[in-house]
Amino acid sequence: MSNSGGMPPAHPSKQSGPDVPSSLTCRETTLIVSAARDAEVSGEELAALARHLETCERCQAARRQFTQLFQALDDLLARPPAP
Amino acid sequence: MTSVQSAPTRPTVEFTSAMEQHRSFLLRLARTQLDEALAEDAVQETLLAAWTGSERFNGDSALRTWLVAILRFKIIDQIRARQRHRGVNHICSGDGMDSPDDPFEALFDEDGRWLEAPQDWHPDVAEDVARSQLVRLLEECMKRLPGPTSRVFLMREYLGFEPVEIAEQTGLAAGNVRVILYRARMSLRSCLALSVPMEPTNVQ
Repeated sequence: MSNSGGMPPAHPSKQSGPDVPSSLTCRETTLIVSAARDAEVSGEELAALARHLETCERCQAARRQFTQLFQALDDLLARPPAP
Repeated sequence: MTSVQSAPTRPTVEFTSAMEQHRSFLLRLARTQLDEALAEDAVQETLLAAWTGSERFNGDSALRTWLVAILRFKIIDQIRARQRHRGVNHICSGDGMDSPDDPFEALFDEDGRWLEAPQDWHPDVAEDVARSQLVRLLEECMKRLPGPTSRVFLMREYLGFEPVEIAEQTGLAAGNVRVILYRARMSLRSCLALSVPMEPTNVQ
């Protein structure tokens, strides 16, 4: 099965560290937040995410929603704490 | 969740009854990963293990949390055994996984900005109550995930498989696993956003 789905990669403009875009779209922040649940994301991605969150109230609210969603998942599924 | 503080060495009728109350939830979890017969077996083994090992339940966590944790290992054992005996088990396609359309495009404008501002989920109740309410709503929302999506999502979120291992187990491309996990989380966020009482917000 090919990697289809019409979804861009978590960091569409990023090929390697220095190329991480200085600004992200709201949509790109959701991709990074999801990816960070599964694996460590790069410092550049985290920095870009932090810069976006500084000025985007919508993504601040969305980030709080995801945090609550992940807490609820941990509660519901008795997920062990991250090492 | 049922409040069971502790279990005596020999399980009481109340303890056994409390365990049975969680059977349907355990079965729903197991069925996302195993066929019906194996799911029933895994849940039965879980309840039996809990019953015979009830003295180890110290009441620090909810009974359901304890049972869910036991079931996790029963399911993983079954999946490992299945792989040993039958080779890689490929997941069926479908479920829109091959769809070229991202169902969450509609949430964003052409510049990738939220079309509607997400709102905080802060019902006017105590935090622990809000958290348990969110868990109940999440359980309902998870029932709405399509079967193959639910299976992949719970392999990650419940069984703790790494995405690359999910790809090996299911035959999906690693990129598709990431897509499915992303879509599942976005679906659950959207479902909760429709279900949770909102806090008035001035977010623009």
